[in-house]
Parts: sequence; structure tokens; C-alpha cells
Amino acid sequence: MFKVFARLAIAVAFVAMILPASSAQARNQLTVMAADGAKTVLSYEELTQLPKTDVTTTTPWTEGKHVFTGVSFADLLGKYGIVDGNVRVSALNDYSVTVPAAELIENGAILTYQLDGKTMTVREKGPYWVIFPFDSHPSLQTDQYWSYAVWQVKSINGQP
Amino acid sequence: MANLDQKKKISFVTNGVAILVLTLFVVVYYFYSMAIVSKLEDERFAYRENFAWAMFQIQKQYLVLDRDIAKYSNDPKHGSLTFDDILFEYDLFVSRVEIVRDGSGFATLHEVPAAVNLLSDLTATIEKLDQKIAEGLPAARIVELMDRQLGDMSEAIQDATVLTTNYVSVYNSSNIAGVKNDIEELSYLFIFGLIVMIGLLVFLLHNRQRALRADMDAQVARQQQHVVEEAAEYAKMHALGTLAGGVAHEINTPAQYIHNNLEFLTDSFAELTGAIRYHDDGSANLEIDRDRVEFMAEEVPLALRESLEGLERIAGIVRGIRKFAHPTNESIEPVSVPEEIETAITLTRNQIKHTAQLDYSYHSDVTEVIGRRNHLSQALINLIVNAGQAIKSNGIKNGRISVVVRLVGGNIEIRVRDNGGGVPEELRSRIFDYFFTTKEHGVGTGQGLPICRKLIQDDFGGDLILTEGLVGEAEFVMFLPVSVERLNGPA
Repeated sequence: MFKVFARLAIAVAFVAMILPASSAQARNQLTVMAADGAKTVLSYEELTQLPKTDVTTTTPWTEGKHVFTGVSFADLLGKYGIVDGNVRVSALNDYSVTVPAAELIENGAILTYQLDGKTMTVREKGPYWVIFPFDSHPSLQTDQYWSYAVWQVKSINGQP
Repeated sequence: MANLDQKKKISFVTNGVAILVLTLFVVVYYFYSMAIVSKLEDERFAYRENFAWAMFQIQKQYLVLDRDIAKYSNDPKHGSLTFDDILFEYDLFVSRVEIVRDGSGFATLHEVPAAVNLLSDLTATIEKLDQKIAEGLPAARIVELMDRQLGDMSEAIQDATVLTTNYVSVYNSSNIAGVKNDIEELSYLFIFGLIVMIGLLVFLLHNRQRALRADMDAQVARQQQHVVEEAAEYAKMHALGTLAGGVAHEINTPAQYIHNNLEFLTDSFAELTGAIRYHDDGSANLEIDRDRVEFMAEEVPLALRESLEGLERIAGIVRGIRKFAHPTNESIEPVSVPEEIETAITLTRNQIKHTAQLDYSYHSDVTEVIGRRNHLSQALINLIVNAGQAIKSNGIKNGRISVVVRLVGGNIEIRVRDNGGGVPEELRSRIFDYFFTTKEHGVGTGQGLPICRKLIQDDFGGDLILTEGLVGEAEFVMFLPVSVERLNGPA
């Protein structure tokens, strides 16, 4: 089931990748859309003003342990009233994944904006990256949660 | 009883071993299965499904970049794409390359030579392009360099993608085979464990059943022992009843002549006191014939001695009865064989004196065996009374009963033999059966011989048999082990 989901997600990514990327939006801005359609655009600085959370973990996409710093989805989604339902997380190349909000909140996922204390470039999977505490919760080391770990995030849309 | 304890000990040990084996197996099974589960999880962590897709992402992003470079090159100033858009797509492409090159989850791809070569070439190309971008060359020049340097890599990327797909296919097949093998091993282990557990369960149940059977056997043995003891007590009382008349007669004979002697002594004393003459000067003399004085001087001591002997005989008989009638002691102790035989002869003397002559001889220095007091004399009384009854019922004129004791090997043998006609051949195999008797109703209970044998076997560790091959005679032999082991052993 998870494998099928992961392949579907990657297939979607493939389709998204061949589409032209939008150049209209500044690439370090994050758009958050509440379930009622209210849209908020956050700059990098505004995002760093929110409560900060660190997650130290390894990932399949990096070498060794790293400290991921960001805002927890519990805080971020709570701030915009997204407490249940699904969340569509989209990347700069328009790749997107739909994740249940509860999975992000209850499993301690964060929206990372710093890797080892430094701002992340697009090459470093920035500006924002969904990270779960994979090491402290080995049950998260599955295809399902790896497919939720979207990098180069540009928007988060709450869905009813 | 000792055997039962041994069985219980063996059962306890085997049960312990079985439980230990079961526990060990469960522990081994747990750790082995956990090792396999852990291995499966490691396989999952290998992120194998995404190896091919990661390479595809490089290829796709390469195609996007290639398309956008072509679009930008056609109309750099007025086209829909800017130089920033090209750099952005280039960064996305580089990020995909770096993930596959540096990501720990993709380390397995380093086993694919085509992928390694491609990543190496791409890294070198990216370094060159990054250097040019850093140098601040014009946008058109940088895009041209990108087009030129990356454009030649289309075929290499395609080859690496295909070979990676093949590798992943083989890798997955191998992994699936490994997992299948692990699951098979786990299945075999489970079946083996199931068989072992069933075997151990059967073994434990068998042990339990054996222990229950041993308990039941012990209970039956205790009940049998209890019944035998009660029967023995009854037989003893029955023997006492049978012997009571004779014993009373045995006591009566000396009592009779003691009585006569006392009358004689009373008369003699009265005669003597009647013959005393008293004088005024305080003196006295005896006026009696010299013959009477001489008669008394001779007969009075004789009467006194005879009376004392009679009393001694009565005391002996009473001692024998008291000893025999005394409740049997439970303890195993040294028992004097001569004393037991004397008691039996004393109590049966009158019973057989008109029927047979009893000869008794003891040919051994050993006088003690280990057993229960009274049970030996009880068995001997039974055999002597039986012998007397056989002689009487067969009308034998010169009845003879002999009790001969010898030490043979480690046993004291007591042979009780009579000439009362012997035991018919057809009855020999049944005379030790309970409730079998050839005597008239009311004379025998049919428990005498079997109880005698049981007492000798259980209380003395010996045996009682009927000698084969005699004609007109019957001989019962008691074997009494002289060993003291029973004294120290468990009761």
C-alpha cells in the first residue's frame, strides 16, 4: 500500500517536474491557505518569528545526523486554524503531497527553515523542508512518511 | 516407598528439563524471529523502491532544464523565461544530483558503475558551471555553457537510468528472495517449535500421568497394607480365640496342683499347730509321731518347689499371651527368633499335645532378624495350628510336627514340617490365595497362609514357601534375611 502510494507520489512529482516552474513568487516566501480559503504569505523572517523547534535526525537524503530547525506543524497549522482534515504541501517545482494534518501534528513534524543553523538554498532542499523526527520515532521510517517529507516547499493549503 | 520417591524425583527432574528446554526454545525463537524482523526493517530502510525514481528525477529535471535552455536561447530578451528561471531549474537539477550522490538512503546506487560514472561526471560539470556563474559571466554565455556541457550527457543519463532500473529490479528480486527465505526459515522454525512444543507437552502429560499413576499405586499399596494389617490383627485375635481353651487348660493344670499343694501345706501346718503343748513355766513341746514329722520334712519342701514351678509355668504362659496379644508395634526393630518360636510353641502346646509330638531344634548362632515383633510368632502359630489340624483331620496316629531352624546363606530358615498327609497337588497353587480354605466352615477364614506370607514378606523382607516334592508330609519354609539394612532403611 505504502509502496503504491510512494510511487504515485513520485509519479506526480515527475509530472510536476516537467511543468514550468512559477517565477512570479519570490522563492523564499511561504503561502499558507486556511481551510476557509484565507491566504497568508509569510516571508522567511516572519516564519522565523514563530516558536522554534529543533529536530536532530538522519534522513535518506542526507549524510549523517543533522539539526533541522523550524516551526512545528502543531504551531503553524494551529496558528491558521488548520486542526484536522488534510493539508496539501506543494514544492517549488509544483510537486505536491496531501498529508493528514493529524499526521503532521501528532508525529512532531516541523517545517524546517534552517539546516545546522544555516538558511537552506534550493540546492540544499530549501527554502523549507517538511521533516519528521525519524530517528527518535523509528516507526516513521517508512515510505509513507518519507513521501510526506516534501522539500523545497512553497505552499501549505488546508483542505476541509 | 523408596521406589516411589525415586520415581517422583525422576519425574521432577524430567519435568524441570522439559520446562527448561521449552523456555530455551521460546527464547531462541523470540530472538531469532526478532533478528529476522530487524533484518526486514533494515531492508525497508534501504529505500530500494526509490533508487530508480531518484535517477529518473535527475533525468526528468535534466530534460526540463534542457527544454528551458532551448526556449531561453531562442529569445533571451523577450521570451517567457528569464535567466533566473534557468538558474532556478539548474539548482533543482543540482539538488537532485546531490541527493543521489550524498543521500545515505541511496548509497546502494554506488554499486552501479554507470550511476557512479554519471554522478562523477555531473559533479565535475556542475563544479565548472558553478565556477563560471561565480565569475559573473554574461547570462547568455552561462546558458550557452550549460547547453554545451550538459547537452552531451543526455545519452549517459539515459544509460545510467536504464542500468539503475535493471539494478533495482535485480536488487529488489534479491531482496524479495531474501525476505522469502527469511519467512520460510521462520515458518520452518515455527513448525519445528510447534512439533517440539507438542512433543514436550505430550512428554509433560505423560510424566504427569505417570506421577498420578505412581500416587495411585502408592495409595493402593497403603490401602492394601492397611487391609493386611487389619486382617493380621483379626487373624491374631482369631488365633487367640482358638488357643484360649488350650491355654486355659495349660494354666489350669499347674493351678490345680498348686491348689492341692497349698491344701496339703495348710493341713500340715494345722496338724503341727494342733500338736503344740504349752506348759505353765512358759515352755512348749510338740507331741507328734516321728513318722509324721519325717513325712512333712520330706513332702513340704517338695510341695513348695512344685508350686513355685507351677507358678513359673503359669507366669510363662501369661507372659506369652501378653506378648502375643499386645498390639503390633509399627517400628522395625531387631526381633529374637528363639523368643518368637518359644511364644508360638507355648501358646500352641495344648492345642496339639493330643494330636502330635512337637520337636524343636535351633541350629544357628544368629538369633536376631529385623522386622516387626509378634508377626513372626503369629505366622509360626498359624503354621503349627494348621499342622495340628491337618494331622487330626486325617486321623494320623503318630502325628509329628518339627520346627527346625538353620542359617543358610544370608537367611535364617525356619522349616515347619508335619506328617498330616501333605498338600494335594491340585491345591498347591492356591493355598496362598486369599479366602481359599480346605477347612470346615467356622474353622478357617482362608486368610491365614496369605497373611502369614504377607507379614514375612513385608515386615521381614523374607518369604514363605511350600516345599515341593514331599509325599504325605507338608513343609513350610520361612526365609528371614539376617541383613541389618532394613533397620537403617526407610520404613
